[in-house]
Amino acid sequence: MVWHIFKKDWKLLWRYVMLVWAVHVSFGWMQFVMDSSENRTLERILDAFGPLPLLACAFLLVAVVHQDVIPGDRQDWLIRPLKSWDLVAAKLLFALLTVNGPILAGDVLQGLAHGFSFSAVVGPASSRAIFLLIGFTFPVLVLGVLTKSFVEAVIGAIVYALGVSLFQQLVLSRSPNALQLRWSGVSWVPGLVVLVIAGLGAGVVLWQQYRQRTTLFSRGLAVGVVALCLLTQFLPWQAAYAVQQWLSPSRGMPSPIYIRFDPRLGKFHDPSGINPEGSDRRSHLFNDEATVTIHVPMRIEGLPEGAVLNADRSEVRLIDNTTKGEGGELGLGDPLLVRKKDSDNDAPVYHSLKIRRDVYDRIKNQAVRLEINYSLTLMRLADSETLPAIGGHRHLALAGSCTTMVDETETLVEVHCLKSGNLPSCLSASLEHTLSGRKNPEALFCEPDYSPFFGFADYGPDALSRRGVTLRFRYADGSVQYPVSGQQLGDSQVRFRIYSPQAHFKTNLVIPQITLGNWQAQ
Amino acid sequence: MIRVADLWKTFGRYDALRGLSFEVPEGSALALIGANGAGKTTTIKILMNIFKPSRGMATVLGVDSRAISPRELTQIGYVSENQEMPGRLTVDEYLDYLRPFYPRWDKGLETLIRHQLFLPPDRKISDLSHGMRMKMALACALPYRPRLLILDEPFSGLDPLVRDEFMEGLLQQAGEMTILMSSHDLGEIDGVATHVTLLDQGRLLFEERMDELMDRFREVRVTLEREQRVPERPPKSWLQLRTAGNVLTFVDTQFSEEDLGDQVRGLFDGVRTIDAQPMTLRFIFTTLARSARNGSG
Repeated sequence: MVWHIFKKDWKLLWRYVMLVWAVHVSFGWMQFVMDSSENRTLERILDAFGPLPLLACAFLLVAVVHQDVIPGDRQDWLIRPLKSWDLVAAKLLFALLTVNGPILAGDVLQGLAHGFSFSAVVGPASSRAIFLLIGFTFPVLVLGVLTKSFVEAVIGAIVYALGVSLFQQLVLSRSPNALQLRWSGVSWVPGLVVLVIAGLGAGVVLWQQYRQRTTLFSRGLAVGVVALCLLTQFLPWQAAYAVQQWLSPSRGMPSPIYIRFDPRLGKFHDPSGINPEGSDRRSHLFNDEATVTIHVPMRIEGLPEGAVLNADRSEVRLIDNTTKGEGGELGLGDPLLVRKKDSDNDAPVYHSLKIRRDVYDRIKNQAVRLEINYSLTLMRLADSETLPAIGGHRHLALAGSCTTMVDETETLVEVHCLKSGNLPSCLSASLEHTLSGRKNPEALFCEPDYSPFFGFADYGPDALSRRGVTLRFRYADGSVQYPVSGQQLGDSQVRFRIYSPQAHFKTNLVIPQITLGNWQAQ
Repeated sequence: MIRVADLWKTFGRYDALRGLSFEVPEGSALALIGANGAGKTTTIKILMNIFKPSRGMATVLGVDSRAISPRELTQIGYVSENQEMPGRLTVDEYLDYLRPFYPRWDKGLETLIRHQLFLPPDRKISDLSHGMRMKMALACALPYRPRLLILDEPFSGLDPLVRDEFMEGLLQQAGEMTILMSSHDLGEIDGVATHVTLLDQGRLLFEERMDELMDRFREVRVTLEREQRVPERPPKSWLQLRTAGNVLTFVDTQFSEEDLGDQVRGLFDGVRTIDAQPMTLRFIFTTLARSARNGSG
């Protein structure tokens, strides 16, 4: 009977299905065109209407459920010999054949159209399809079975959005223990927990509604599931990082890496001249009204050559020795990212820490104890590839399909990479003049994502990841001379170095006595 | 066929059914009658497992109503005034959809019924009038020859012509079917019901065979030689006892030709005439309902 019910729903909704497919094809085409060449109009359309394809799918899914409405006592199907299982299965089949299946096919086609092999595309596309099934289709079906009409469904969606927003505003943003994992490489852990809870919860609600039709109870159950999902935002860092360490390619440290306080390095000096990573990265050097930034000089020993060390999190604790060991959490240190170049000895680094101004003013001249607990990820060079600095287009093994072009102001080389699946967590890029061997300073770009899966908690347009980096070769005012300048771009190439996580580990830095006043930037 | 025992249904703080008990024998046609809000539809929805009872139980075809499965539903036809069918399907499409669900669906009978009920095959259900939709519901309930046919206010809002067509379609196919029909309009069940059950505010007032009920009730008019006072304790079986001058009227709920004269003469002097007229079902129903509400029933 599953197929029979499906055919009835298809007969009633096929025009709507066609419309939804048309929306998806249009957006897929626009995305393809935009990925292939710059198009500001399409970019604006996609920015403004990006959620439309999924929104259309949501309406379709609610519509198919509403063909046999669950709440209420007047529906004809209630007195027909339909098995609950057949009805659920028919609705799921409809969702798979008209929403999730076509999205999967579209993702595969999009990847193939960009020149990726089927084997490279099918994995991420399937991963995204699973995520969309559990993280999108199931919840929308639940919305459908808990409501009688589109109006009720829209109201339900608005209530849900308002509830989540209020929770974020009133609870999450005010709780120091919340959102510890946001924007980190391990944010996939709570994402996965949410997905499991949402999947199981949706399954229970769907089954409860189709079997028992206890709408009020099921609505309560759905609210409970949502609350449980929101509570995952309180997942402690230690637990999530323990999962990541357990999954680490080589658990623990491959060889000992030490972080030592080294006052011989002297005060941090505000760098001048060429700043490869752009001025925005320097904002952390400055104080503001509420905080003072100190820069702790340290030396990292044992870091393998060419490796990158990323501090996923650094918890800072300050203990005032004069108050008999009373201490306080200072919060988190600023991001710390270290790459050991071939020429370096043990890399000297400064870790910036923000301290509340009133605390700083009180203890700046006292010797205090400083403890920093680091959660670190060691990344090893996985690949190094090049492509021409102008008009380059090449499939790189780990960075994906990359193109290069000079920007409108003719000061930057823009590199756009498109990859099927997850992008590398870190990559560096530099301009090299092939004839002379001259190089511009290397820029390191890291957006750590240690997820073993693709597409979790990502409602993006397809199964492709996109990243753009820019490499400066001159300033418009000519204030800075680069080794590789604009005239040499024709004979230059962009060298990519791709880093992949090798180990996740923790270590502590304990400074028994430090006078904070000594370590402000000069 | 149907057995209801001490059935309660509560919506919030409102008791829609209060300890209802009755039976529908196999092969009978029971009319569940009562005013709006009496609990007829609630009872039927419990029987169809659309509602769960708060207390007590009901069995349908020998199965607890809460456990009614598709197997039982293939043997039950249901027609309700507010049945919501998929409006965007045509008459033909919906019948095509329903057919495979019923192993005993008789295509020939379906054709016959559709012809009898003048159902337009290509018209969408949403475009049908209320009467046509009721006929459509009947056309969807009869072709599989259900053992039990449940009709919830089937004639509500039907014009006389459509009602006759509906009744004709129903009676021609009724055969050995057991029928449970709810109605607040007693004219509708005349000639159909063999048994009648009267509900009032969720309670059962009586359950009886139709012919016995009609025999039992009489509207009595007594003419006395002179005006007399109504006795303080008249027989309990007399309802709506009134006097106007020397004329006394009441409804005798336990009518017996032999006993009535003696009863009247025992209470009144100078009885000139006694006239006992059969009552319409509507009159019986309104008399009982009023008496129940006045606490004298």
